[in-house]
Amino acid sequence: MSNFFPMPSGDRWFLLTIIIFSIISFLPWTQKIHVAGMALFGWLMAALMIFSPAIALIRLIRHRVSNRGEQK
Amino acid sequence: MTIEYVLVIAYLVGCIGIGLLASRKVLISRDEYWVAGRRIGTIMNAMAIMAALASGGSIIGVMGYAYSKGIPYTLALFAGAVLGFPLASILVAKPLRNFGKFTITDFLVFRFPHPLVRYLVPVVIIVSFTVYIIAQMKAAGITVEFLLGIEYKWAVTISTVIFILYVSIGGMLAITWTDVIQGALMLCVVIGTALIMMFREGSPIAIMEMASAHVPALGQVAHQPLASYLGSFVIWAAAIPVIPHIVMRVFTAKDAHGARISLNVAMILYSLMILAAVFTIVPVGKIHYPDLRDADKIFLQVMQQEFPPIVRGLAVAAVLAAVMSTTDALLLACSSAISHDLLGKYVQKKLSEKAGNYLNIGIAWIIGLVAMYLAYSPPPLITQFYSAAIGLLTAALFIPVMAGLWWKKANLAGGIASLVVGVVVYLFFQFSPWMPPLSAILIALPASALAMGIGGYSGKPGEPAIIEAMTKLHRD
Repeated sequence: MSNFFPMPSGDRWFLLTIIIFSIISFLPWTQKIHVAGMALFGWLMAALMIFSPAIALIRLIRHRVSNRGEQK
Repeated sequence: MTIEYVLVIAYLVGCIGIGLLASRKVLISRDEYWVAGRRIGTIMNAMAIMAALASGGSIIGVMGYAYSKGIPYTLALFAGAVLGFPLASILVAKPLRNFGKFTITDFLVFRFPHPLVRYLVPVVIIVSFTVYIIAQMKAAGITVEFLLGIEYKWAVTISTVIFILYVSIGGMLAITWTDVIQGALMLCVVIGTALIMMFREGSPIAIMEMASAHVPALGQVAHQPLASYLGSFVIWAAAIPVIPHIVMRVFTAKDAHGARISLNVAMILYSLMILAAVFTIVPVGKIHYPDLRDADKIFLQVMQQEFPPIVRGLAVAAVLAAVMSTTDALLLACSSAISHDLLGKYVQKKLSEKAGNYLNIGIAWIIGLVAMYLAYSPPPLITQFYSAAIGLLTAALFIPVMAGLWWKKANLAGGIASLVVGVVVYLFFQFSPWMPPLSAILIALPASALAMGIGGYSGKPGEPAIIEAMTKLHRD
């Protein structure tokens, strides 16, 4: 028996993805490459700010739609 | 100056009016006062969450921070806060909403029933949030002083008295209603200002290229050691899922799914506002005003020099909105930490619900006035100042809450050990001269996790009834 309470696999994958993205963002090479006057690190942080809640929201809405479909 | 005064006074009178209207509904029961009867809709809750997180730090502080420490460093901190919301929506929204109590302390005391948990958690919340409130009061004070010409101490005093008034009488319902208006005002002013800047100077990329040609450091990762970047990111990413004024918003939602959607919608709006500020207003400000002594005044400087009175009036109202929308939620969370968490067992049970709510009002006034007194001598760089305080909260609560929610072997010994070790290790390294700013969390969190692991594997297993109740919290 697992020592952890169950988490939906979609949530697990989403968590893993954003953690890996965050780790990659903090690797040294992202601080040396500059794009449009700013280190790539800054752009990756900006991307994380937009995409992490947007993807989470899309997943929740799809989950709600599929739940309604099952209830019908 | 007349237009600015009229706009600001109209805004403040509106806030008090909302507090008075809400007071008719909320003073009848504790559920109404603390969590607005648990019936706030998804979009309204999203706007309220956005406004609660978007503090004076998110308008005044974010721009001051980017101006002084560079945009990448600032984005590391704020991206951490944004990332915290999807984490919160996955890790805490459903089980805590299903738990159905008022505060994070309620959950921790249920999971780790011990007097140390009952008393230490609210004390940590009160200390961290008082520092957070002081930083907000500085933002309100310097804004009113700079743009309306009122002396700093008077500016702090007036704005503090007004927001304590509507929080103390209107509870969570007044906060939600005012937060929705304040959130909309903040978004309009910051994004509107950014659009005007883009119309004048070009796209954000063109503005960034122009600014980095003038001041290369603005876009570089060179201002602080990497540990400081990582620490500021981790503090906020781990804080959001456990920070009481956001968690209380989860309790106000109609259901767990609505709470999760609200958290993510809130963060998209918040991100747009922060990115608009740092990619347009800050670079233009850095080019035109490169030598400000107080970096936190960059937004105000831009407003004063480049915009007409009506926009300046809206800017003052927007900053006050940002300050108030966070401070009111902090004040309510702080007040709940005292009257519900610390005194609830002894005092509230002997009082009627109405008398209990009057006690809450008194406590909100005491906390607000203490913070106001401390804000008369303001700290430099408010974002760094309150982030350090939030680090203490994160170090104390993140591991106990997460392990309590998700790890079946989390037990009383682990809960107490991780809480105490998190606090002690964080304070030790935070005040150590050799640690880079905001990096103490990188040692405190692993230490707290280690303490939880040792306690979990070596201590007495948790009560079967608690584990059974936890299993129910994870069901749809």
